[in-house]
Amino acid sequence: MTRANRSAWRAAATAAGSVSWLLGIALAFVIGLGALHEVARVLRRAHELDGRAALARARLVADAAAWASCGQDGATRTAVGGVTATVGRDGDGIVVATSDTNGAVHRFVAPYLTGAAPGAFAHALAAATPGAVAGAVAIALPRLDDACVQRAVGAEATRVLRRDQGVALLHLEAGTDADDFVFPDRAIVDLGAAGELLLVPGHLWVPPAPQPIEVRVPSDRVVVIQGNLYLGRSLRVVGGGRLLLATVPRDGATSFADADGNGRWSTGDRLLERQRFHGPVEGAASVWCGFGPGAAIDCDGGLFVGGELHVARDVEVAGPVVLAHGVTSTAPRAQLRAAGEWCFNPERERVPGFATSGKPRPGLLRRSGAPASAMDQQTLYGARIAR
Amino acid sequence: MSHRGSEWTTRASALLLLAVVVIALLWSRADVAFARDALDARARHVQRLEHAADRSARGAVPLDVADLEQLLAPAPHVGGALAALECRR
Repeated sequence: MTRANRSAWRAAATAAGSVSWLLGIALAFVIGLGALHEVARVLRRAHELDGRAALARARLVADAAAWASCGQDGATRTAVGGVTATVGRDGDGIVVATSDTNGAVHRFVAPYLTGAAPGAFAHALAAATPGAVAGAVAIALPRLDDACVQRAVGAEATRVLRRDQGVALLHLEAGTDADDFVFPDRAIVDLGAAGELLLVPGHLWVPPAPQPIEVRVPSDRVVVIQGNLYLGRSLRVVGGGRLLLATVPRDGATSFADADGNGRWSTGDRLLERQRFHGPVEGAASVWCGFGPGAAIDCDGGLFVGGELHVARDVEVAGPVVLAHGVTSTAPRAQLRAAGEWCFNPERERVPGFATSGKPRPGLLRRSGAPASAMDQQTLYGARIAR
Repeated sequence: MSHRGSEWTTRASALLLLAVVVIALLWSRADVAFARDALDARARHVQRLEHAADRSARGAVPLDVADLEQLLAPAPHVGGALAALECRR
């Protein structure tokens, strides 16, 4: 190797040494940043998990404390596993404030329930008459709370419904004997001001139309119909609440299964509870779905049927369908589908107007206006020795 | 120092730096992996708590106090690795 070559090799080696230095520093910098980023990610996840754990602990203790407070007067205090819950009353509701040893504070509210709602409302399809409807869960028929019904707001007083003397004659040959009510002609029927229990002292008609009727319910509502329900088109519920349409018998009226679908008691029809027919010729407490022309019916609400449910078209009901008797198809291939998209939780939710059973209890706890947790401003772990 | 000696010093220090970087990387990786395992255990514990809270919220009877205390007991051997990370940060 010549001297010139040796010099070139030496220069190249020196340059490589310098480049190694630079590469090493750059690599160390990148790896250091990556490691810091990973540590930050892990700590962020730990922080999030800690927040979730604190909330779950608070919910558990708040629920136990709310249960313990039912049936007691005045504020109560419960401390379990480092979480302290103080329970007070706010009108018809229960207010629970919890705090834990890390300083996390949560606040919950729940309605006060006098007992459990009827279990029938927990099922997509339930029937009180055994074997009357295929696939239905056998239940004891829920009954209305008379005191609630007496306090309920009448349909006419709220102007949510109006009396209509002609609607029955448009759809039934001889009309009806009892009073008939319809929703007013509005784009959206607002049940917000009607109270949780709305009483209809007669039949409720929803005449056929190409578009569904939209009903706004801001919180759970029950419409008690002391007559029949005639549902001629789809019913859409908006506003965040749930709607239950309940038909109940009137004094002196008879329920029957309308085999020929003519909407009145006639030869071939089947009596449901009595030996002889009497009262209004159209009966009471029954539901006719899909009368008149139109497409399949979608009902976002739930149904409680004190008489017979008649279907003249395919009907899909999103909420619970609770039947005292059975289902009669008045047209070939017309079917009821109980979708069960929503149901009540009878143990912890009210079904307005229906009698309760069992001990008083808290309703579903809901987090309320929780102030920023003091824990959010603290480091995750106190001064503890690392393992 | 001769030119050749300086060259070798440069090379050796570059190698040393790389070795330190690799060791730091491995250490950090192991630490984070350990913390992740601890976090997974913590996540499972939190999920159990959340399921219990959901069940309790829907339930027909209140939770027994003994069950509640058992549920609220801290998950064992969870915090150490994270605490180490926190301290180093």
